[in-house]
Amino acid sequence: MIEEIIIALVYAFVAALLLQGIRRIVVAHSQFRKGPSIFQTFYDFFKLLGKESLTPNVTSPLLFNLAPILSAGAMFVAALIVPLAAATPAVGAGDLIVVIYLLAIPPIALILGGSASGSPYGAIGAAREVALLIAYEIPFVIAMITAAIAAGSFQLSTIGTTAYITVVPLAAIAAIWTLPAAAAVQPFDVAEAETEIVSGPYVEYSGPNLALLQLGQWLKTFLYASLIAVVFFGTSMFHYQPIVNFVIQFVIVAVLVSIFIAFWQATTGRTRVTRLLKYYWSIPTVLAIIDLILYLAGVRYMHLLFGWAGV
Amino acid sequence: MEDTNERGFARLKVPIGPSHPALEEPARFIFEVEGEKVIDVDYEIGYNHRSIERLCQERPFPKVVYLVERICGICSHAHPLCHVERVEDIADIEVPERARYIRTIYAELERIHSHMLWAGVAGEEIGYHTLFMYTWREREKVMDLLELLCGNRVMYGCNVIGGVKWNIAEEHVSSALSVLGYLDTVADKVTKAVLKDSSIAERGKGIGCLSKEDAIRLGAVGPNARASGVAEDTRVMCKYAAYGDFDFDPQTAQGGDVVAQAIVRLRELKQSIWLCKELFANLPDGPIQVEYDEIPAGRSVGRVEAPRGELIHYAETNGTNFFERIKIRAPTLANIPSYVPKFLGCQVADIPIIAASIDPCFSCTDRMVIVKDGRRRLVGKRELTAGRI
Repeated sequence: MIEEIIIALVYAFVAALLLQGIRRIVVAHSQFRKGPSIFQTFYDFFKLLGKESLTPNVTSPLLFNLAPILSAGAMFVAALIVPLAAATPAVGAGDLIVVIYLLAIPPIALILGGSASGSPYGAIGAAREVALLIAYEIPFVIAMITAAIAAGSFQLSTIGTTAYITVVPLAAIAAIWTLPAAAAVQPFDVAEAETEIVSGPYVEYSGPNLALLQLGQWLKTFLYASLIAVVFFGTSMFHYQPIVNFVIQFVIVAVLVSIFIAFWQATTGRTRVTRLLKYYWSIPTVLAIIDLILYLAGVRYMHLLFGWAGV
Repeated sequence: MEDTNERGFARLKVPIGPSHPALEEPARFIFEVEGEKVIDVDYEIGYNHRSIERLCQERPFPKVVYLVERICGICSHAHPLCHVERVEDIADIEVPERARYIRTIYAELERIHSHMLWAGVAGEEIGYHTLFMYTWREREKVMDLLELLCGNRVMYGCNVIGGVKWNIAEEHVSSALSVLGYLDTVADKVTKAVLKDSSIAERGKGIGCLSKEDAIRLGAVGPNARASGVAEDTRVMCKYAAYGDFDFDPQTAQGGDVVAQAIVRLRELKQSIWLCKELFANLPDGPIQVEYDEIPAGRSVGRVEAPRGELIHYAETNGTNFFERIKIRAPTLANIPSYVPKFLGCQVADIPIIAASIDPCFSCTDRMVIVKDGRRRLVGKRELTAGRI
């Protein structure tokens, strides 16, 4: 049991940071640059750990210093629940709901930290993070619930044995559509927006606090993509050696991230915060709701169209 | 810092600058915001005064040319061009035709790289890094061409009183023409990308509007004024250097928003490339410099069209080897007042792109400010000329 926990945590940590390296290289190549080393995120993280953590005078110190720990801690807990490899240390009925809640904690930590930082940039960044969170959470949660209803279970180990993109493809599209917003990169880096509000909630953070806050964000990106991989691509159906499972899982997540986060990031400018709800409450939400209603009404259109066996 | 209005919305004072990622140079804006909406703006300059006007009075004429060249890193040809024309005006020096053409070539190449720089910076401000990377990569071609012609990427050291220093070799003309042909395709590509891209349209349409009346009332100059429909271009009006030999119109657009600013600059980019090709094709033969005797006492004021707009130089000599007074009005100073109507009512997210849209160059325009007993005041001519070293 203890080995499984350690393996899951180390894998999540390494994979999350490696994923950022891959994303940066993909973006760099689409901008005619060479880009940093794939391990650059590791260097940055360990360098920040060795620096001093400053707390501004005007903050509420408890809240300000708690936010990074909350962010990274919640994500490590989520890493134990999302089935990253064959063995998942923490399994229980309804763990999908727990993961969805846990994935909302890093943004909430950013909101707390930004508000507590006493900087006007942090305050604006926190307000924007709220808008971003409610924009993408709704289509994402509806899509996840659609898949769960199709599986007849809220348990990830059950859902993950079927690739639900073949059953509820519109919900899968909606969930993948929310990926760049969850990763908070262009065009959805509104809360950071370094040219507008000087990286918003992060502005007063330094040293280990900054490292943990960013680690929470990186882990969230990885686990979010992993959750989509588990639910819609059925990565739990493979029963190979754990290392092979890790590789399959990571390749699917890396492809998702490269196409839907890095490529999107390289081809758009930053959107305005007022447009966020328009982006996410229109097409993605409608797609997810259509699939939910069709499934509940008993219409198996993929079966009718392509003759999938389905569920 | 915080205050609430009668409707209970929190008001925040958001300082932008003097050190801020969106501003390359020191200027300070204080925005009063309600949520994401800007309701008031105030600006302060005076962080980077380098007393160039004073230093100009302390060195002999030929050295002053190199000093005014260093006012701005981007308009490093417009300043000395305007300056030497003032001295030539006072001393009645007739510049050879080839020198006038070479000066114009540098001026237009400078406009090309400056407008490409603007397009990149604008992309960066809206978080569109790919546009930034692309235009700046292609901009290197112009910089390489300038290096080929004079040996320097910036600070060309080209202007001297009575002509130019570097001649253009015959074999450089063909390579210059091929670079210009390539840049023409780049300009088309960027224009297409800027006009078609939905994320640029979303961030630029109707952002930072300036009406034609406001542009005239606030004395906007250059592409900033032309984007509001004011068809004024110093190159066309004053016909300095070799511009009188070519027939072209000022490029204008309507509305003054970010997209209009982009359209004006991209059209000028095309125009400058065309003008450069014409200049290279019609380069006359002859000497590039004339001798001159003494610079008599006199005064002259004149304008050139820098990439950022109308640049005014005033020079006053007194018969010695030194200037009595040099006065420089950089285009950004004339454009700063047009910020106020552009900023009012905009969103916080639009501040950087509006700030960048007039292509500001704060250090070139800076004034000396004395802060004494909590009051700020600008330094005038009397203090500057008094106590000469």
